[in-house]
Amino acid sequence: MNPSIYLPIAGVSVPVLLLLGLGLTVGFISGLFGVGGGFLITPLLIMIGIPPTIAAASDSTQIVAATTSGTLAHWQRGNIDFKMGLFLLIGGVLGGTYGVQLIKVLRAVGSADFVIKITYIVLLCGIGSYMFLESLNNLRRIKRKQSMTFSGPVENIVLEKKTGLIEKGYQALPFQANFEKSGVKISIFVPLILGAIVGILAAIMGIGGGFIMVPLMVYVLRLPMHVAVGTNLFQEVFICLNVAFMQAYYNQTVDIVLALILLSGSTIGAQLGAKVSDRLNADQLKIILASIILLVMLQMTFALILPPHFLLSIVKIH
Amino acid sequence: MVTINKSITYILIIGSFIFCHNNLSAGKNADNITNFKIDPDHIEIGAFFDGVPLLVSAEIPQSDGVVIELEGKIQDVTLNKKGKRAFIWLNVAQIKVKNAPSLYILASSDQLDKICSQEELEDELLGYVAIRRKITFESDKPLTGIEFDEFIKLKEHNGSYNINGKVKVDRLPNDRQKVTATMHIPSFIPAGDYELFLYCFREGKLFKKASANVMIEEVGLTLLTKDLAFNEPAIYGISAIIIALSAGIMMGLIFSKRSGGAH
Repeated sequence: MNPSIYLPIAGVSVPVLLLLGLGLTVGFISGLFGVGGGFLITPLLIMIGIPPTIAAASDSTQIVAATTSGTLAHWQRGNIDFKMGLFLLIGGVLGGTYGVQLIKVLRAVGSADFVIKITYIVLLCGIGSYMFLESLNNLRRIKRKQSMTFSGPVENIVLEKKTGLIEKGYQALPFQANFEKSGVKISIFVPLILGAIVGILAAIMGIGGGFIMVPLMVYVLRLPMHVAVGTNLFQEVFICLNVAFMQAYYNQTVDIVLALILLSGSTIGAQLGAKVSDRLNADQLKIILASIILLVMLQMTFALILPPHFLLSIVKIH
Repeated sequence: MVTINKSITYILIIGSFIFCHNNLSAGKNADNITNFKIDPDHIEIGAFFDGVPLLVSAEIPQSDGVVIELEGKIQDVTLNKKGKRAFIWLNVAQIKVKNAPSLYILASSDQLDKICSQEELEDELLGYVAIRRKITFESDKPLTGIEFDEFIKLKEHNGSYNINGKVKVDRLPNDRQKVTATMHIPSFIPAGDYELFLYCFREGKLFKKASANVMIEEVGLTLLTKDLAFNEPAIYGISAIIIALSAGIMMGLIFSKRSGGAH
């Protein structure tokens, strides 16, 4: 027997265990990779009959809980660079606000959906492939070094950092600040601009920026993978908090009953994800995240190429 | 003796009166829809509402076919329409559907086109013919003619529209029939007063029609939550994020205690 519960704002009844399972899964992914998980849960909620606007808004509310739970777990493990998170957050809020305006202009132009989706797919494909191959090479090099030198733990082997043009460019920028937790000295403009770019993309695509932000933190800001995961979770708490309140206030699309059931699963899942994250080294974590990014990219590509089952979809009921 | 005779006469007169009255009533009822019942006729949408089966029964005159129809409130819907551009499928237009019933459930004793003629369906506005007549599609982009069929496909998929329900017909004495049907009310039905119609057809023509009301209302937690969300959105929004933050912090603390606190 699978008891159902009536969602007052969505106006539908759904099986409780299904929602709990969804929450647990998405929370686990959130705690493991530092991403919000909206990419996964919103389409699944729509599939079980919840109106899209309510699915997205309620998901934002449950992400507040999951990311808070995950943030605490990563904070206890010393994985959060609050200073870096703050600059990324400021950039993200500014970018998100600008992105919402930008999308109106793009839609007015006409083929905005085409450009946005193709850009996003190319971006995910690039990031995912690079991350996957780079981590795979690192793992192979570590394995080679281990077999050549000593048989100690993987964490003891430090791979030399490359100093390229990007680092030199960073050093030339004004307002250099030392981010001790991340172990980088960088201009505050870099996280601000990066946050703004991801904020714009997230606003345009309508999903959280974790998928882009975590790899960018690792490859552009040179943050250690675990710190990138924790720091992204920290800033996502505030981004989703803002979105959840705005949706509840302006659109009345937050279903608190739906959010409560989802977050019951996701807060536990986030803690479990953070625990598993501890047991994996940075490259293993990157490979799994890269695989998920590539799977999402493939799913989006198929959704664009294959004929849809329904040519119409409900946007709003008046 | 006279008194006994008088009594017998009175009894005979009263008996004849009752007999005639009953026969006349039966004759009158034989041509009417009687005992038209809906169970339940008052549905409450509470915290665990998961839709309900609606049992409809009635006694009707001899008919060739019976149709029971339940139509929801009229609403406007905004839809995205997908189309192929180059090699990919994208939202190419936004369509506004006007005057679409939120719900349309129809049960019949046979296929609609076997029960009545197309003209009769159109006159009485039954089935998808009725919906096609009522609703209109508006868009900035040209319409392609597939909109109605795609709209019905979408509504049937989410359970809002269904015209395949069955009505069971049993014979009764005096050329009467008993009809019963179970219509499933989905969980996403909006609250309100609904009118359920019973149509009886003979030789392809409608000859009897009756209606009954079903009241659907929100109660308890459902009513309270909706009331707060729509009338006090600021309080509702703040409550939602406080609950979410508290749940996240609480879970963080529980797991932190279990794993021995902060590092």
